[in-house]
Amino acid sequence: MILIIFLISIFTFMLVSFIPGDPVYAMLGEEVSQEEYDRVYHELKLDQPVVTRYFSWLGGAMTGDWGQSTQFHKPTLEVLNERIPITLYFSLVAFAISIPLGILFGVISAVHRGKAADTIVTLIANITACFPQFWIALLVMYIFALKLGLLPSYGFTWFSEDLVMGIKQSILPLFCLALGGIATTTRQTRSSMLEVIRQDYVRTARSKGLSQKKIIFLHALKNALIPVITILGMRLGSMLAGSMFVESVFNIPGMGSLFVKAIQSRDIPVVQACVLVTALVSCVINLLTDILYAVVDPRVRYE
Amino acid sequence: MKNHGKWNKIVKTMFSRKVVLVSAVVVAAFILMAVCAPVLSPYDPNYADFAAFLQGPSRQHLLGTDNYGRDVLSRIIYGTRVSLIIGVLAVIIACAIGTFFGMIAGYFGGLVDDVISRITEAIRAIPQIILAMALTAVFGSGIRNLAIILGISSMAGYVRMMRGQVLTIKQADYIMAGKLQGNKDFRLMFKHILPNSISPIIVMMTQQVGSTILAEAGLSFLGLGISAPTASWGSMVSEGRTYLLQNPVFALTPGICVAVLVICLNMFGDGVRDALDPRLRGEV
Repeated sequence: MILIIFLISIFTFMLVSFIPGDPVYAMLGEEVSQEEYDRVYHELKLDQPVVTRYFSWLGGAMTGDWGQSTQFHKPTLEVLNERIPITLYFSLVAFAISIPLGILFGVISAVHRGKAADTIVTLIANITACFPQFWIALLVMYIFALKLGLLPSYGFTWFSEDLVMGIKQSILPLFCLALGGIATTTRQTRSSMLEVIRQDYVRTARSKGLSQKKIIFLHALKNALIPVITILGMRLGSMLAGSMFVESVFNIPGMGSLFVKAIQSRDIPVVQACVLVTALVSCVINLLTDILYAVVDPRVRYE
Repeated sequence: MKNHGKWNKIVKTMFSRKVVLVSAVVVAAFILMAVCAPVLSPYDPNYADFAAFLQGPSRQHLLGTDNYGRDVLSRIIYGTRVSLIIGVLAVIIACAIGTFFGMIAGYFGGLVDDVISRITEAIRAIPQIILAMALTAVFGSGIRNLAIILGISSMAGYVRMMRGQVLTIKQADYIMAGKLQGNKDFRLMFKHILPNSISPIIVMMTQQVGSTILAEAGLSFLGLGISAPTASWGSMVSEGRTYLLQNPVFALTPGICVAVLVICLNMFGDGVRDALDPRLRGEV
């Protein structure tokens, strides 16, 4: 895993050094004197070879010095510190909403396989997965904010500042973010549940005279959830990515909108930091998924 | 002759399910729409009629007009081109690069495999859309660049799939026989291993077109993909969102087009998978 993080850091660094356009002009504008240009050129270490630059960048990144954001004229770490909690809040809450709901819908549709409930749940799950996330966000914003006027259409307030406003502003973005998660979890739970229900031990439990509820939730679900864990890790990663669209639609000052703005204005340190942070988070999530997998499935440990 | 019969059978199983047939027809309709865009669209997609901006649907403009007075229907028809071209091109690029590296990794094993596999893992650790966004900063936007970017950002899956394929096929007797005959490595790879793993490749490609089109729409929506004045579904939604109250049709219909196309592509892909998988065909 350390190796992978190392590779990602090289990749991130290389990516950014290939960006066309002069970073000095991007930072100071086209109107700049030659002395000023040379000074900044030296400050950005552009006069040194790539390898030296990479290691000094990596050293800085590890000690918390992520460079100066060229658009905000503040240290990158400071900019990120304001943004990350917001994105994290939306991703984690949406994740926490979507997993139990997805599992519940998956179980319902697997148990009622072929009946109306199953058809409706699978149809909705398949269709929502095909709509662009930003489109769903716009649609709910149009209906609930603009037409019905029930909820605010944009912005973000921490609960500590204004509880009611904060909750109101969170509902629509959370709904959009959770929807994709619910759809994927439902599909995964349904298919692995269908597999498990056919197993011998479920038949044994049934012939033992256990109630349907006990069979489903005590015997079948426990085993059906093992493959679901694998996609949980990926879900959280794509929540982070998906929050980009939701933040863009609802005008939320999170990491996603920061990333978009940084790319548009060629704010290199921020782009690097955003890619690196998301990759790190994904790596940690993958590691946690592996550990959880071993905890839940004893067979994994023996390999 | 024998081969001909096999393909006939595959096509027959594929279209035996009505859903697959319907989605194939819809996909074909979208392709037709893209090819015949100049004939089908009632107006020039970039003609701005300043006398008639942000109109609702009417007889002259079936889906109304946008903020420059351009006909939304014509722009949607032309947008089909962008989506389909990028979707197909990106998948071909991803498949070509990914399959090649996957094959090399699986065939040679050892250090080559280690290097390729680690790099692939590193790429997979970054969510696809974020990787694609970061790459747009390097390559810039435009149809060709977007196809390359989306191709690169989705190739890791092909590497993994192809590597696994090669590892299984490598054990087969005919590969050993080919080796003993003195065939060169690359001849073995391209003449024997590649044709024998063609069906999982086709399955993966058909299933990827939809998600690539979704990713393109996403990038264009964020302003990092196709830029004005070229009509693309994602950027149309982005332009239209400011005018949701005046003409909701303008912002919302392109998204519906994306969804319909992606749903049909996915169902068609499922049909292809079911037809090509020997286990599901009941032959093995």
